[in-house]
Parts: sequence; structure tokens; C-alpha cells
Amino acid sequence: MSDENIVVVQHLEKKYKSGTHAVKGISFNVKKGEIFGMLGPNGAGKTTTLQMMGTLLGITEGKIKILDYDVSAESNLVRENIGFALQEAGLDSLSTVKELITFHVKLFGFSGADVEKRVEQSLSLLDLHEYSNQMIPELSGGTQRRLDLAVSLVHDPKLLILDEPTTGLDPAHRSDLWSLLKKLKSEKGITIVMSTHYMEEADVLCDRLAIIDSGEIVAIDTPQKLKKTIGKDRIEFKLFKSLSDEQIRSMKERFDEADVSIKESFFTVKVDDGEEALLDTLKSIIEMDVKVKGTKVLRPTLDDVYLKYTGKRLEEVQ
Amino acid sequence: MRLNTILTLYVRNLKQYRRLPAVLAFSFIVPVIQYLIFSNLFNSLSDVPGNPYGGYPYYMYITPAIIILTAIFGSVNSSAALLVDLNTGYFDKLRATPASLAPQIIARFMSEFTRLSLQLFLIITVSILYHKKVSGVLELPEAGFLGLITIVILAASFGIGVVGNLVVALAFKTKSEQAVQAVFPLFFVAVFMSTAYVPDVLLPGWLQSAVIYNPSEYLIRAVRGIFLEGFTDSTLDSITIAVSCIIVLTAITSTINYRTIIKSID
Ligand SMILES: Nc1ncnc2c1ncn2[C@@H]1O[C@H](COP(=O)(O)OP(=O)(O)OP(=O)(O)O)[C@@H](O)[C@H]1O
Ligand SMILES: [Mg+2]
Repeated sequence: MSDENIVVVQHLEKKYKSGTHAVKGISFNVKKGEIFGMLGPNGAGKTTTLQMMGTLLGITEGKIKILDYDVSAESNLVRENIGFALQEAGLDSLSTVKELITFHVKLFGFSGADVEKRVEQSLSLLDLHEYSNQMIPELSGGTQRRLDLAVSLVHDPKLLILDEPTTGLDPAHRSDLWSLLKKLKSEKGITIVMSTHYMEEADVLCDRLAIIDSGEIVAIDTPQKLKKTIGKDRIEFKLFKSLSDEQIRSMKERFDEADVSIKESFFTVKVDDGEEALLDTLKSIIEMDVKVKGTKVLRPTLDDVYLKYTGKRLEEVQ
Repeated sequence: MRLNTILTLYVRNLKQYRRLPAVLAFSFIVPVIQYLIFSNLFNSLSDVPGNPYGGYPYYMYITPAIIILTAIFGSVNSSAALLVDLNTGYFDKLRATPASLAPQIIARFMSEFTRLSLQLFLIITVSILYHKKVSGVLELPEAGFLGLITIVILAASFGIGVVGNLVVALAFKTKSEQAVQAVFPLFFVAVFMSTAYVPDVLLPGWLQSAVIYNPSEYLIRAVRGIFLEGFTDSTLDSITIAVSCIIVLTAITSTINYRTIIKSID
């Protein structure tokens, strides 16, 4: 494998004892410093895949290499080098925030003054100082998620695996977390593999995305390129009144007929770059004596991509 | 698997008990109460003609029984703290760290063994104080401090090795505290169906021949030997039998446990 690749997944399969074929032979690589996202409907196999990467589940077929270690054969070395925050943030319900972080620091072999230093860093990194002496069950769900992330980072892992890290966070904490993950990536060079249900998160945060459906990767690329597969940008004009037949004819002459669609008082034209083409297009239309009430540039979204590949819409919670 | 990891987990487990007072108290209070009630209630058993232990006050005869009862009660609780981790999902979180699987289980058994040993020392202290109250003398039993340590090790090994393994297997299988508590009476009966409270010859006929199939009987005999008679030849024989019994049973229960744990992780 090339030393650039932090994660190499080859023909990975998971069949649960119950018979569920949750992952059906997927392959992908994750490069150093990348934020790699997995987007897919409920039951797609995201958690199953991440858990196999994180040594929590046995691999039925195929293999995973993390930092050149084989996840099955060298699981101990893998565990020392990754941080894993599970989908359900389950933490020790019998300890305080500070006790928990301290325990995790020690678990990774730190001792003496190092412990105190790392605990402090961890509390600061996720802004947990004010909760330091609180019992974990007393914390809100969102704070528990942040604590979960904090303990997953105490040993400066080279790879961070996050299963739906922002589910249950309010918008403010969600964007805080995005900034944090970007900071971890740029300042510490941490590689991140994460699953998500949020389109915006996948779009703004992930360098590359795999869209997973029924245990298979149906598309994998940068968010930009995935959106390109949907097609061109569209400019939509809202008109004062519907176009006359003559106006329609001249529209079809002016623009490529295939790019034009007309529906009642809406006129839509496909262009390569919506923002750049907007003014020229508007000018042409006004020259045809069409009165324009408003205009909108529509670009393909990940939701469109998702719909194209999975036949489902992303559930947007926010 | 590093020793350091196991130690870190072990210390964390011990600290956890501070927040589980019920676990500590429950397995201790019941035996103490039983000790105080039985020793008063059945005091006259020592005077029954033909009782080979007639020379000892009844409270002394049942002290080994109470010790083993504590061991069993305490061991049934040995999955309580583990279940907290299993049910919060923290156990799985830790599996993705150096704590992984085996160190977590080993450290859990170590901390349960420690807790149980302390509880056993406590109940022994209670019996010594009770003896002082009755007889006016503050003294250790025949076998001395070494005897007490042997008793604690035997009882704790039986408890954690045999009962503990079964209970932990049950915890992994059911993830339910209730299920674990439900097996409780089973072990309770096992102690009663032995010479723990009543000497051999005074038991009903059918039970006299049945006790030899009760593993806890062999433990009782060893502990009673050490406690009442000291390290005599016959006591040493009983200890050998008890240790063999513990080893064989622990081998069986830990295999069951191992299989259940592996199975619970798909
Ligand atoms: N322990 C298990 N035993 C048997 N089947 C399982 C187990 N865990 C998950 N599955 C099944 O495997 C499939 C994939 O589940 P998985 O949890 O990986 O999906 P996911 O993409 O993470 O979904 P979500 O978005 O809901 O978290 C589902 O059909 C699920 O029912
Ligand atoms: Mg999931």
C-alpha cells in the first residue's frame, strides 16, 4: 500500500450470525489528513463498517489495513493508534468527567506529570472545564458526545473514527465540532473517517464521500464531483406572466432546447456555472421583452446526489 | 496485552465501588444478619445428642457456612459493575482502546476477587468480635492468621471462579441485572443442601447421601476444618479436595464464560 493511505479497505464483507448481509464487499482508501465521510440511509452498513475498522466486530471477508496494520491480525497496534467515538456515546456512568479523562490518559500508558497535562489539554480542547467534577449521567446528551470525543483524542490518535458525531448536537455545537475537526485535521494532521446523516456536514466538512446503500458503495468522490454527476446548474426565472408561444420559440432558439424548461410562469435554463451565466442570461431574456419578477440560481445538492444513487431523500433534521 | 493496562483497569474498577454502595452492602448485610439470627435461634443444636461438633458453640459451627454464604452472595454481585459498563455501552467503547476485551475481563475478575476478599475478612472480623462478646476472649481460631488467609483465598476462589464465571456469562448473554439476580436462590439452596448449618449425622437420610454431589460441601469441609480444627492431616486432605474441586469447576465455568463472551461479539 502507498504510505499516503491511512486506511485501506479491500472487498470488505460482513455477515452477521443472524444472517444479515450488512456489508457486501466494499473497497476504499483514505489518505493521510483526509476527512472521509460515509453517507447512507438507516441500515446501510455504516456502523458495521466503522466497527470493523475499529476492531469491534469480526470481519467476514476481505481485509482492512489501518496505518499498515492488519485490523484482524494486529488489532492491538490498531487500538493504540485510533480514537473511536461510537454512534451511542456510552461512557462510564459511575465517574466524573475529569476522572474519566484521567483514566483514558492512563490507559494509553501515560504517567506522572504527563497525565495532568493531557487531562488539562483535553478539557480545554472540548471546552469541558466547567463540567470537570460533574458525574457523567448528569451531563446533557450533547456534552456527553463532546466528552466522548475528548476521551477518544487523549492519546493523539493518527486516525479518528466517528460514527455520527453530531447527531444530537444543537446547531451551535455542531458547527463548533466542525471547526474542531477541521482544526484537528489542519493542525495535527489527523485523518478522520466519519458517518453522517447531515448533508451540510458531508458537504462542508468532508474531503471525500462514499454514499453507501444496502451494504454497497454506490458512489465515491469529492462532494463537488458528486454534485457534478447530477448535471448542470439551473437558473430559474419567475415571470410576471406565462410566456407566449412566440416567446417560447425564441427562447428555444436562444438557448439549447434541451436546457430549457417552462412551467406556467417559471422559466428554467441549464447552464455550466449558474452564477457566472446569470447576468448574460437575464439580459437575453429581457431583450425578448419578457418581464422578470425574480431569479434564482439552483445548483445540484448532495441531496440530489443522494436521491439519484439511493432513491431516497436525506432526512434533514435542521 | 500489557500488565500496565490491566492494572489501570483494575484500579479504575476498585474506585468504581465507591459509587456502588448497594453492591458492597447487600452481599455483606444478609450474611451478617443470618449469622446473628441463626446463632441465637439454633443455639441448642450443639446440645443434640450425637452431634460430633457438640463441643463447639453453634455460632462457631456456622461461621464457615456464613463465610461461604458471603462468598456466594458476593459473587452473584460480581457482574453488577460489569453490567453497568455493558449497558451503557462503555464496555464496547473500551474494546476499541488498549483495554480491549481480555484485559477488561481479567481486571474485572481481579477487582471482584479483591472486593470479595475484603468482604470475607470483614465477616470473619464480625465472627471474632462475636466470639469475644460471648466468651470474653479476643482470639484467632486454631489455624491463626495463616488459616484465615487460606479460608479467604479458598472461599473467594470458589466464589469468583465458579459462581462469578457463571454470573458473568449470564450477564453477557442477557445484559440484565434481573436475570442475574434470578439465579441467586439456586446458589443459596446449594449452601443449605450441605452440612453448612447442620452436621452430617443430623441431616435427613436422603440429604446425607446427596451432599457428596454438592460442590460447595467440599469447600465447607475444608473451611470448617481450618476454622475449627486447624491445619490437621484431615483438614489438609479436605483442602486438597476443595482445591481440586475449585480448579475443575472453574475450568468448566470459565470455558462456558469464554464461549458466551466470544459469542456475544458477532
Ligand atoms: N449486531 C447485529 N446483529 C445482526 N444484525 C445487525 C447487527 N447490527 C446491525 N445489524 C444489521 O446490519 C445492517 C446494517 O446496520 P448498521 O448499523 O451498520 O447500519 P447504519 O448504516 O449504521 O444505520 P444507521 O444510520 O441507522 O446508524 C442493518 O440491517 C442492521 O439491522
Ligand atoms: Mg449507524
